[in-house]
Parts: sequence; C-alpha cells; structure tokens
Amino acid sequence: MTKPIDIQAAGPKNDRQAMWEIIRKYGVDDKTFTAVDIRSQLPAYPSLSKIRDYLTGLTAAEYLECKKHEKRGVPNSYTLKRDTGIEAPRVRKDGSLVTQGMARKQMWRTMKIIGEFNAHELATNASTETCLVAPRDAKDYIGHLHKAKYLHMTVKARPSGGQARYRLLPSKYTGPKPPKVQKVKSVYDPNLGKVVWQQEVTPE
Amino acid sequence: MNQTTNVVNLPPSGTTAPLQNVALCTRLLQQAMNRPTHLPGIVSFYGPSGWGKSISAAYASNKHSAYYIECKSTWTRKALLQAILKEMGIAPASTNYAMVEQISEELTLSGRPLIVDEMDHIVEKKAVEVIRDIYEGSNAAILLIGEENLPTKLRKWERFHNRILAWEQAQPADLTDTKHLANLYCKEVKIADDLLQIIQKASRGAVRRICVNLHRVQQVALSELGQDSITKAQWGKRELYTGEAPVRRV
Repeated sequence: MTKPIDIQAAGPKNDRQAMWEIIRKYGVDDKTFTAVDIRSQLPAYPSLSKIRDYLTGLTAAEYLECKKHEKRGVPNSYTLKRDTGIEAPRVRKDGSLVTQGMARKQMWRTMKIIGEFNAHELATNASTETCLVAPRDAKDYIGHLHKAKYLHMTVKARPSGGQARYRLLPSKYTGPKPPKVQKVKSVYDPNLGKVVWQQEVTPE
Repeated sequence: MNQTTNVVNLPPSGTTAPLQNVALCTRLLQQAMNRPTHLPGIVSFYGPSGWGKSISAAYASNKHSAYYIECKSTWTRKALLQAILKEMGIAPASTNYAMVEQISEELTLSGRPLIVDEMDHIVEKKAVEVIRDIYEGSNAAILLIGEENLPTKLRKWERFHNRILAWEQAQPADLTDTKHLANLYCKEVKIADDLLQIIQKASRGAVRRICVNLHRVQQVALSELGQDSITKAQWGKRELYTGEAPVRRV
C-alpha cells in the first residue's frame, strides 16, 4: 500500500475528531499507541479518562485492537484495525453508535439538495425509515437557521394556510456538519467553529 | 415554547421512499454498492427536469450517507475537486493530483458512495475525466444524475462510457405516485381519485407540477369551498398548472 498523503479535516476539530486523526496517523505504519501518547499530541489536553473512554468505545466497535498487559501499571496499547476515513466514528463507551443528531444531519444534507422547501417538505424529504424527521423539528431548525441568516425566506407564511418557503444560501453551505442549535439560544457552526447567531439579551 | 398547536399534533411525516423514481434511484445506487468487485461501479440516472430526480438523490444520499455534489456550469476541474472535498469535510490539497488522491482515499476507506447531480454541466468539459480518475483510484460506487440526453453526451467519452454498470431512466409520475404525494403534502384535504387522475394528467408526469397542483386544489377546497374534501365535479372548470405559458385569447 502506498503511503497516504496527509489528510486533515477542514475547519476546527472537536476532541473526538482530533483524537481520531492522531489514531489514523499511527495506523499508517501499524504502530501501537497508548492513551498517554494520544494526549501528548492534543493541543487542548482533555482528561485522560475522556480519551480512555473513546478508545474503549472504538475497541468495542472493532475499530481498534487493544492489548492488555498482565503486569499492573503497564498501560493498554492499541492498534488501528479498521480505518473508515476522515470522519471520526461516533461511538459511546460500549461501542454503540451515537444516533443523536441524525435528523439534523439529514435535514442539513437535504436542504442543499432540494433547493426550495417549506418545513413540511423538508421533513418529508429528509426522512428515512431509520430516522423519521418530525415536521415540528424541521420547523424549529429552519427557524434558527433563518435567524442565523443561513436561509433566505422566498415566500412568507400566510395566515390562510401555507407555510413559509426557504432556500439555503449557497455561501452558507459551510461543510458537511449540521450547524447546532444550542441550549443557550444560539446557533453554532462546527464547520467554522463559531457561533453564528445569538439571541439578543435586552438589558432590564 | 410558543409552538402553534396544529404543528405539535402532526404525526411524524412519511418518507418519499414509495415514489417510483425514489425507489428506482435508490435501487440503482445499491446495485453499484453491492456489485461484485470486478464489475464497473458507475451508474447513471437520467430524465427530464422536474421529475423528482433531486428528491430521489436526497433520499438515496440520506439512506446511504452518500457524498453529494451538484455541478455548476462554471466549474473547472479544480472547482469540482474542491466541492467534493468540502462535502467530505477535508482540507483540500493545493494540486489537482493530490486532491484526486485525497478523495479516492476517503471514498475507499469510508465505503460511502458519491452522487454527482447535474452531471450535464460538466459533461462537455475535461472535468468528466476527473470523475473517472476518482473512480479508478477508489473503485467506489458513483451515481451520476442528469437530464434526458445524458447518455448521448457521455457517449463521447468512450473510456468513461465503458465504466458504467447500469443506466436507469426516471419514470413519469403515475397515479400511485400522485396518491402518495397527496398523502404526504395534502393532509388537510381529501382529494377524490377522479380529481387526482386529472392532476396527474395535467402535470404530465412531473412531480414538481403535481405538488403545485395539489397545493392549489387544497387551497381552493379550504378557502373557496370551505370543506375538507374535494371531487372532480367540485373542482369544475378551474385551471390546473401545466407548466405551459397561458394562451392569448383574441
């Protein structure tokens, strides 16, 4: 196998993505590594237990192979067994897949493809058998993206019936990760690593 | 939360999966994904505009986590490569050659397919060769979507043409499709079968026109007639949207 060229994810990385990219580098030469090795290369220095949890999850999901040592005090060493590309696998500690955020991901992808839509059409077109998107969820997501000026409203909602119609602005397709609506009433774009809309706080 | 009540009580929406073209397109992509490795892996889905090719692509790409790009007429080879890398979330390398490698590697490792929509836009340019390079480098399943004359246009690129596993034509929407669209988008009004038949005819098989007409019929039923069902007789001589410009009456 030829040595792969250096591939890095675009935009800022979360911890999981940063860990995965380091793991992949070890995988190039089938080198083994420990949780401490990973931490020493992370700029943000997350806690060791967080790294261990991710490694345990990846092992359970058969991305990694773990070699446990008989002797106490010797850390587990890992090797990359299954490389599935740049996107860090989203696994829990027990190896099961994190499904949270699927609906948003499907909506984000669908907006780009279908052009103009209302909440109902978006929900329908973004739905698959494994992940049905509720019209209510679509409406909420659209509302936030509109506030963040990612969507342009082409037709206003009419009181007689008829939902508002929207279009994703081409320059606002910032990448494959769906912008997140945060609990603090703001929209965060993980592709850019910044908050793109925040509810204004009116001073009392 | 100030949600309006009519939204809260709606059941989760159905999927577009039962529509003919959505099913055809998804099956085609699966055919490429599940082929024996010695067979070519590019498949092509084509048909007139408005027939629901893009909604088919949306469903297929959601179902199989496909990378999706929509070509623009102004795209150069470099623009095409950069667009694919953006979709993958990978920082693009500086040369075309290196970008092809980045894409091929990502496709191989992830096992995810690539969907190239509006293929017509690049079919007359050298960008076509880029798709072939990516295919050669990854052996990934690639779905090309384009307008009715895509096969004719592609014939010019013989080396490309050889690598196509299957061609599939989009089909005009039939009455079953029209009924399903009514179930999806016309929840407040029950449209009688005889009227659905007329809608299907007037729309000449185009999913986009059917949706416009369903909306129009629903509006008439609700606001003009004030009822939650409508038949052909009640619709009467009102006009349906056919996509034709109106004829001058002199």
